[in-house]
Amino acid sequence: MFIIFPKQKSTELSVRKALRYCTLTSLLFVSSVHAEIIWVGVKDPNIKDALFESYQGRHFDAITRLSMAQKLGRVVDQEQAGLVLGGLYLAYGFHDHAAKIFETFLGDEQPKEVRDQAWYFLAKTRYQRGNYAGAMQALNKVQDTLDFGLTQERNLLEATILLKQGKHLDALKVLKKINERSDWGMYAKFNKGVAVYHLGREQEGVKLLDEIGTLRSRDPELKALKDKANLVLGYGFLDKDKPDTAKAYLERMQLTGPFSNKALLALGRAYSDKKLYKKSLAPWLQLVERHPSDPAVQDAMMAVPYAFGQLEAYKQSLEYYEKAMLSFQAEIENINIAADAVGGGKMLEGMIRVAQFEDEGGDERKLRRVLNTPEGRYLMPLLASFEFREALHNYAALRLSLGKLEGWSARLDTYQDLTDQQRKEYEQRIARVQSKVLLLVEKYRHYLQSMAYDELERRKERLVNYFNEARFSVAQIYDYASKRWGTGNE
Amino acid sequence: MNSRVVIITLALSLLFLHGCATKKGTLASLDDSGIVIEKNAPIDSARQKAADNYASFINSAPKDSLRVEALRRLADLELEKSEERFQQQLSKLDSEKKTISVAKEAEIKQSSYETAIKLYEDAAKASLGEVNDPQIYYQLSKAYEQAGQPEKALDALNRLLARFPNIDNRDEVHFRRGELLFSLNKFKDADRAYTQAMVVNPSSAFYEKALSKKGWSAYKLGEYDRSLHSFFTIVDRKLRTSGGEVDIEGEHLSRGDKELLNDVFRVITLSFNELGGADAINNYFDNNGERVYVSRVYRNLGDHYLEQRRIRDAASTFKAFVKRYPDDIYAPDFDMYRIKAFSRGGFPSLLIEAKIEFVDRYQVNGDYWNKQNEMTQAKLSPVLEQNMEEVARHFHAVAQKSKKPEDYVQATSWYKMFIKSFGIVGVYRAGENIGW
Repeated sequence: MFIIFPKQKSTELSVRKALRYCTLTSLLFVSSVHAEIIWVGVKDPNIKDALFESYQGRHFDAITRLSMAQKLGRVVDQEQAGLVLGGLYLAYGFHDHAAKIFETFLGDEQPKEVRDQAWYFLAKTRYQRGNYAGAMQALNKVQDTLDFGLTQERNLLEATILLKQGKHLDALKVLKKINERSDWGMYAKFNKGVAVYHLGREQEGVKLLDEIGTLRSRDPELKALKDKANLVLGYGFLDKDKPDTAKAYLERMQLTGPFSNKALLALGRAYSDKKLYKKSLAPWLQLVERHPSDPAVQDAMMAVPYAFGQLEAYKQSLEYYEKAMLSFQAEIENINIAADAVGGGKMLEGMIRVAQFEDEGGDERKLRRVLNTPEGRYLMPLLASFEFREALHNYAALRLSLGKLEGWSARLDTYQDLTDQQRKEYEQRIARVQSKVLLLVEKYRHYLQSMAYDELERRKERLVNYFNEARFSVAQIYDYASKRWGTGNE
Repeated sequence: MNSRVVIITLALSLLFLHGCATKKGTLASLDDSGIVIEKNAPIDSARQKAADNYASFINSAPKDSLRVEALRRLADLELEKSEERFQQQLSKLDSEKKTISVAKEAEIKQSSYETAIKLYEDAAKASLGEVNDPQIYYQLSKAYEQAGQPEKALDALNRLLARFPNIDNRDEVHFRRGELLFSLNKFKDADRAYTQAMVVNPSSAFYEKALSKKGWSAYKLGEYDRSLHSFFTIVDRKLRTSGGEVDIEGEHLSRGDKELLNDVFRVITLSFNELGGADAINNYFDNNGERVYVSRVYRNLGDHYLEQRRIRDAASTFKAFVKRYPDDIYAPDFDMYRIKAFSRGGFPSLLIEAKIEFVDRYQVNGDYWNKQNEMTQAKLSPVLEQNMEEVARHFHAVAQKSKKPEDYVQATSWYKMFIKSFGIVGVYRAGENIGW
């Protein structure tokens, strides 16, 4: 749960960092998150052409052009073309297809460096898609030619997979290989802390995480890592009924960092566990002012009136419960709107744009802009799921191929050198493929929609439960008040 | 301010600023000093809002585990309102000077409590799954009872016990069952229910109440011996002080206990009356052992007869005490009760006989007199003096009327006894009374 292998923004950074060390003589690419292709020493114009398309974010066109060139026998260097095609498939998200090509073309005759990097990036893509066993398989094919930076990253990836698989001792052995001063040192240290903690060496784990938790850095990524270490320690000690210790760690965290909502919630709990309800209100009252779609904010909306109730400030408790109910109601409405948007296909269109942004190297901010609607925020967590992303990418690719097929079909008339018979055959073939793709599109659409509905339903259920809980508490306060202060003018 | 102080102050300020700097932007900078807590600020018109919110909760959370509790609380609030509604309707009819028949009252009752009952029944039904809330049945029973439907109230308690046979307060539940059965004139069943209430726990707060009602049930069944057994057990328990001694007057008791005890003594009296009076008391104590508070039993029965103007029965009850306990400290009192009874009843010949007996039995230096201590003698003395005087006066008057020498002899012998007992002063005092 607390294992760290940088992804999303960090992955972009990691790819850039990784590419800094790139010393390949032939070609290379890749991040599956966004294609950043670096290629040198390519002479074949067909391959160059495909890579150019890919560089523009048009992976599909790149693949079709190169495949066509291969079939027409125009490609001189078949092996190089194969490898590039594998890379393109990987960039396009079809890692299984890429793997098959690599198996065929990444023979002993290829330079070890090329093989190692190809397998390594395949491993990383598989990891990002949640395929740990496949990722480990690919990783095992990587030999010893990766440069220092990539070797560090590779080790971190291997350790992360091992941790995900619950093999803490093996993970620890790999983590020890990572140089603490490398770019990945802090991440490794964090994971080491988690691993030893799981191995029962709690003190050692706490010490390692504490070292990260006291880091001094202006790098936002390291500041976030520092916060995460403190958050892990804070929650860990809260769960062990040591709120004082938890508080000390949580107080180190940034008020506006990426984990600040969870931190504020936890700090309030640390006070509340000690029955210091007024103190618990300081972080919680800050948190309730934040965006109500965040579960931590929703938790705080229930925690604040609870604390007021404990302080016998029943009127204030009532006000905050009623405020929370209004907020939950509005959020439930947003979820209903989101469900409508999912049903009407609008939400999926927006998400395809997200997938396209990613393929084009879009960053988190762009992604957020696409989903920056009250209802869209509820689908953000879906994008963190490898399963959903994989399906979304495939769906987007299929949608794109439909467009291409349509374009080809339209262009058939313009090809003067085709005979009527040939034109008819091509039309029939395109129509057959279109039908197949349409079926697949429908299948993916249905699959994505049901995943989105499940997520929305889960979030809605949580809000409905909170709403009802608040309603019950309001009733109880009034009930108590009627006994204490009488029934008034009823 | 010298320079050293300035330096220290500056250093402290810097330290403080450093502290602020490290806190700034982190959760450590949070402060609760600006948060105002309005403790116990009143909330108005809350009951209806509570009911509205419970109702909304019930509608919006059909499967929530708290639904049963919400239903019950809503029913509780409705029950409160039912009582008010019932009273309001009665007052309205009363103000309109309308006569309220028993049937009409029953109808109003039933309609007033209808909603509350339905809510409790819903709660009971909803609780059948996993929710353990015996309070629902208890309250349901109360609602039925207030609605004038004791059979259904009883049924609710039976359902409660069937579902929660080992419930902690089953003594109270059995007691309430007993009360309902008693009100339905099912005394045998009531008797059993009260016994079950007692069996749960002899230290229970309901033990004595159940014991008392058990006695009443036996009384209603005409089983007076059995009823007496229950009642005397209560008296024995109540009159025993914490030190283990018996406080006959029960002065150590609370007001409630005193009332309970008075009720118990009242029914003991009624039971002995049914069993035939003073002889029954004698028999009871022969068979069940003496009690130090026995005088109270005879006295109560005697007084009961007096209230009913059964003077002879009263007198024989008082006499029975004296006969059974001739040397008792209270024996002269009982003889005096008998004298007063005859006096009040207008039985002059029986009255003088009783007085003669009194003087005879308690005369100075007589058997009784000699067995008493000085304090008792001092207490007895004026009563004896008065009775002796009245007897002497009586015989003097008889002699004056008959002019017979033997009558004068008798009167003289009484005066002699008087002088012997109380001296010449007493005679003068008595003479003043008779007009010497």
